[in-house]
Amino acid sequence: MVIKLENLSKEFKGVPVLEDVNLTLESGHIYGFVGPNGCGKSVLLKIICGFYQPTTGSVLFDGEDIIKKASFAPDTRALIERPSFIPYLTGYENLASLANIQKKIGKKEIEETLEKVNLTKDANKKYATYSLGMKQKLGIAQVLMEDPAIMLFDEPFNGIEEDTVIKIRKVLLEEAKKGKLIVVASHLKEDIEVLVDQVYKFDGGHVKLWKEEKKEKK
Amino acid sequence: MISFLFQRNVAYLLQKKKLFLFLFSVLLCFLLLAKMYYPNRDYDFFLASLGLDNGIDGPILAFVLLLVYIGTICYLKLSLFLSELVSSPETLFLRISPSRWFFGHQLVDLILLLFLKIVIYGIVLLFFVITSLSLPSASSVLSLFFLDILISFFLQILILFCYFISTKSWILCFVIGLVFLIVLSQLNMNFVYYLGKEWLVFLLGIVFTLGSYLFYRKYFVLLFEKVRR
Repeated sequence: MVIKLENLSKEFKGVPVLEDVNLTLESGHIYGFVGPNGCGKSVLLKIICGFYQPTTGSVLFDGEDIIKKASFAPDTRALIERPSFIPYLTGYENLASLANIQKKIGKKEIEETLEKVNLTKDANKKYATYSLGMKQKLGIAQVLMEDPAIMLFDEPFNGIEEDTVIKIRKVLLEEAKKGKLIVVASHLKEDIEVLVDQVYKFDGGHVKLWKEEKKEKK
Repeated sequence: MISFLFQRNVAYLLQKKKLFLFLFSVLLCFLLLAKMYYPNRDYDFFLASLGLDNGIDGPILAFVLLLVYIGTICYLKLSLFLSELVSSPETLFLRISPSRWFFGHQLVDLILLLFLKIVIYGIVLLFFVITSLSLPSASSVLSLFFLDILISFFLQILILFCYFISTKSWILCFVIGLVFLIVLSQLNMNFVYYLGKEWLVFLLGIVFTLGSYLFYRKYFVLLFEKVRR
């Protein structure tokens, strides 16, 4: 899968947020988006998902323009803001009801995903009782569970304890090795250093390649 | 998918609209006091307490009830629709096509409307039994119930359609709203008047559902941006 953003710009009420963004993101890599708050990282992720329409430019998934097609990003899962789950269901039940929409996976895959994010022991607690970190883990689990080709994360490790962060980072590296396209927007230096192959810096509406890591370093 | 949407909407109502639903129930009980305005006219009172009478020949309370019912179902329709656009993009919309969601959501809204109406009819019928008022025949209650559902659903889809239009152009929305006000003022808002004309309401419901769908399909990103910023 290749995502191509061509001459993309986005304005809100005449105020430019992104200007002339040109990016090519390919399967098998982890890309990092860095920059201060409000620099347009989340906006770009939402444009890639198909939730926002660029003011100009196009978003191509394997050459197909999702803007013209008026559809959401194909085979993509994302954690952009805090996702909304059903408070009176348990963590497991929430994932099961989401999985039930496409019916691609069953109990086994959901349990494996919960294990990947260290949420197995809290899986049967109601979502309403979850801490910020547990909610974030469940958000990551809903991204991972259906084995999507593209995974987008915006500040994924907020509120999560260190040992789980290390575990999830390993999971993401393995997913990239399996050929997944992963984008991580983060302000944490360590996430970027450990995880990503290419770092894009957001500055004044412009997005520039900032750093390229060799995979062998990891 | 339907069960997921249903659970999500019920959770939203219980979490965010508790107070609204409570006030609505209190108001409903309070307005049953309108009985005093209908001495020996049990059937008229029955219609008024369900908001099926426009109150032109009766007390102003009947008209208030009509407005309360219409306002409630329209408010709930818009709240439920917008709440999903605001809170569910990553979890829901990346798993489902815009069309599937739209029609699934309409179906869930219809189920919730049915549930709300069953509760309302239950309260009114209970009141009639407790106060020993004479009840209309079961077939008459049933036909009123289905007509009520049909008209309520039509009004809900109409308000959604107007909301969609307003996202593109307030002027266009104003013009359409004005046309509807003129048309509505010429129509009889006593719901019973439409018994036997269900096909017309049904047809209009289908036309506006398709109109809303076509608008949503073309401009759903615009709606996302509008509600999420």
